Amino acid sequence: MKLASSKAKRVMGCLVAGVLSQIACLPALATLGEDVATVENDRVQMKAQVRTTSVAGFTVHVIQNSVGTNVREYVAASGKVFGVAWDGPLLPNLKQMLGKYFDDYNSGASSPHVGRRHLTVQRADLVVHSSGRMRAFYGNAYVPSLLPPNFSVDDIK
Amino acid sequence: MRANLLAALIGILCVAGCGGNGTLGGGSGGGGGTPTGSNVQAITIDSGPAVIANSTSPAVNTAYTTVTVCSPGSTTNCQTVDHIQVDTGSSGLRILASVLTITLPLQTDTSGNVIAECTQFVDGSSWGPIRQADVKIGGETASKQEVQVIGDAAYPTVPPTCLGTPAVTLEDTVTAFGANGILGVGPFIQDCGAGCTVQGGAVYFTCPPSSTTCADSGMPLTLQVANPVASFATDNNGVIIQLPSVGATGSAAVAGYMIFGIGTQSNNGLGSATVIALDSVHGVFTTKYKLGTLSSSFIDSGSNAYYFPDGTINVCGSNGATTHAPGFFCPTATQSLSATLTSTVGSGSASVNFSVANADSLFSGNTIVAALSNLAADSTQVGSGSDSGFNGNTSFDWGLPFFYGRSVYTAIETRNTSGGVGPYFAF
Repeated sequence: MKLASSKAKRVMGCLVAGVLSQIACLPALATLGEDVATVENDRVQMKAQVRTTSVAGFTVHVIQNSVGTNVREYVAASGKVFGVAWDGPLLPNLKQMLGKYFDDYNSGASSPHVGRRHLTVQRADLVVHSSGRMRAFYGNAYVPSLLPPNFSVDDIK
Repeated sequence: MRANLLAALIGILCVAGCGGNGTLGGGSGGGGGTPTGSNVQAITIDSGPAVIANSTSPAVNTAYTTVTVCSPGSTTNCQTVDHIQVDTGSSGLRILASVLTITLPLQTDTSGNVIAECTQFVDGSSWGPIRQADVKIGGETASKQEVQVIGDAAYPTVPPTCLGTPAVTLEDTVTAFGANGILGVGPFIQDCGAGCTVQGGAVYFTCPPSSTTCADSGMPLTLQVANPVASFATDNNGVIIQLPSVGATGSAAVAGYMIFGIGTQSNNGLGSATVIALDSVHGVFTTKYKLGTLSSSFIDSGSNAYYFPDGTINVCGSNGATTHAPGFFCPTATQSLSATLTSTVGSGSASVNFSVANADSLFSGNTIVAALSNLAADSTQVGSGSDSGFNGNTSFDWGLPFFYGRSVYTAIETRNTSGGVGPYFAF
């Protein structure tokens, strides 16, 4: 992934002053595959604080929920949420975060798979990697068809 | 004869302090003398309870033990349950309701509400109330423990937030769970800790008296499900899991031991084991593997394979190939690999050699192999600490194969041991 041309962007009327900024107003957040401008469901559900990072071609909303789990939502320039990621002591509410993709995720989780501490769901329009145990979960989910052209999921450590 | 001689030589060399080197683990760990004492409990790795062993997917690399639960204070209202999975990746005892034949009293909070739990696993949730029991393992007893009873008919209503986190999939039967229960003997005392003391995590719930509708609730540490070892009268600072070596083609069954306490008896000394101190929040350490540093690594008897990211090893079933082992690694030839485990909060560091065989070949024979020392799976691209992207190869999960041929020590947080204060793993 190339981050060289990082630029601050305007998100829902909130001016982001740097690559990593605390912001005074709350951007709208949304569910995977939905428009960022819809609702701030996640923030309300998680009673969370939000931090926004803008890099070339996409914006990241970083939310920490009340139990200390970090959720990151990746929003393309089009306004669509193309990916979500999480890490923390407990799993976030994936039903709400994955939205219309949750059923896909769930049928993947119900299919035969390796172990109970690692789960990969690989479908045409949804990829989920989830690992860990109570006190240390981490994972991500994304919609391949919504990925921005300059975003490589393999490149980032 | 020749092999024995070589083993003896390695033993002599090891006196000089090469304890942490995984290649020699068999010399100092499992396969030695038979430990005896009130702090010793047998472990078996077999195909699981009958319903699983006789199914099309018998258990693989699942360590089981036997636990006795009694109604608190009773010596008659007791039940001994076999095929309880031994898990260093969690804390506390959970039993499937379908195998329980005795009734244990419900645990209530200070307001008289029944406590229930939605235990989170990556692939599903286990729902059920917390009940009280005296837990007896080997010759040790943990009195009045909070024990989760999964799939309990008295509390059939699964809260919606439990169904949504992490999945609709409920692991509330022996078949779905893979065991008659699970005994969490991990490095933490409580199963959840601080994250569950506040409301909102959808793990702990309270159910008003005479209602089976339960609400998300914060739970004080004292009422959370906890590692029973920490409540033993003695030998309560940790546990050793000791398993014999397993050959390249696996074994139908393996017998080993769980020994309670570290440095508390003549049979549980740390010896020359390397201590890998764990961070006190997540219980993790760093693994350096090939060119990458995997900073959220852990040792987990509850994982049935080594799990690590490596895009260079072929995954079974990739490119549409027929497979018996989807998701596991299927290298064309067995890979001999090594990695270095290093504490992020202490000085401990040890290098470990391990093998990854073709999982399809391992599973394709006609004989049942419950124990496989060279089974591994891809955990590519899970996790991230970065704002700039959502992938990060941050974890090496040293699952049950790591335990074969070793003594693996799990020291409980805040407890003093002969190797320092927990939490740590040592081997």
